[in-house]
Amino acid sequence: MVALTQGVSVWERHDFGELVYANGYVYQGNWEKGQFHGQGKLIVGSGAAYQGNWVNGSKHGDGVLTAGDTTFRGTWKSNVAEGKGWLLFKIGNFDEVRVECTISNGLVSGNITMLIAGTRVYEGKCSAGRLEGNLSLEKLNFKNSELNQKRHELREKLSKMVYSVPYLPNPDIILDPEQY
Amino acid sequence: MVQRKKSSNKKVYAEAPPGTDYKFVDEIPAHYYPSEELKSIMQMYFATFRPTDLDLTTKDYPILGPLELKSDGAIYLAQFYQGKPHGRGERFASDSYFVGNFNSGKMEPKGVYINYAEKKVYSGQFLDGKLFGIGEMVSANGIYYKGDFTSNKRVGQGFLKFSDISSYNGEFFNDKFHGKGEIIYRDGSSYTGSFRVGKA
Repeated sequence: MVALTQGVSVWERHDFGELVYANGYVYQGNWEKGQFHGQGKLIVGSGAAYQGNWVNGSKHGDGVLTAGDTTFRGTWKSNVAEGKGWLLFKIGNFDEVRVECTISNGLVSGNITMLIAGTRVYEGKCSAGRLEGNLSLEKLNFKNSELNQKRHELREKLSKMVYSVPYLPNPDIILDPEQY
Repeated sequence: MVQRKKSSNKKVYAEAPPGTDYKFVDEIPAHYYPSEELKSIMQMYFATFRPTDLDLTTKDYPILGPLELKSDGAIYLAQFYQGKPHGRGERFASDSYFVGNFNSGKMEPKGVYINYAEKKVYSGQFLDGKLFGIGEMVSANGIYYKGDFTSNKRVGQGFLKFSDISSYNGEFFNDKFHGKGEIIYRDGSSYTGSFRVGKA
């Protein structure tokens, strides 16, 4: 963001509006003092988006982050996912893998519960994205030969979650009031 | 009808219209004329502008001048009717130049106006001596505006184009973006929505 000097007038985005960035990112939602503020949706590239609450340009409060086929619903604090939330993604033929978890520093931490199509496959600890116990996938209709591979996929999925979107510039027209 | 000699500023009447606030002057001071820079902007953007007759009756009114309005020092070269500029004409002042129509002494309803201090050239509608209605305005620094004016200020719908690629199309209030509009920033990003006046 361009440094603002005192006494310079700024054309502020305010209330509702849509900003299309030069790189194709889009923000639709509420604004205050030229920044994302209130409810809004930011679409970053293809398939990645955050929809939820913003405070002074940062993700803050309840929000949903979607990246590819993965969705994280939870709470955010100063742009980082923090606290209780739900992870939803697909694996194999199963459309709905649901993980009830706690996020700390953007990674899954603490006690989590993982359900695949309503069947509980894990209940236990996870530290910084690493599951500490075993996944019980036996109740599901996976082939025996697939089991280890699916376990690996699930562990990978949890460890690779990134709950942030890239930094965005804040375009503004800044003019000396004498100039226009 | 009395013709004024174009080669000089010689008055065409021996005395000012009786019972008026105007007096003849020998010549228009040099600083009452627009600078070459502003004159070239006027010629570049508004070369096609010609003051037209106010109506059929004003066509034959005499062009008088240079006549100075005693109260504010502005000098007129204009058609006069009932002791006031009325019809086509020019107005020279220390801070501005106007060519266009006069109605009972006031700039109205059309003309080109040059503001010396702000280095702006305006072409469009006037009301009671003020920029009022629809007009175009060009600043010496390359900023172009087309849209609504109210009492010399940009108020209402307008389009503002900056000297780079950035532009704004939407509502104005007190010369600033305010309300709904669309903006294109210099980096190529664009915003459609609401604005309000802010201060850094």
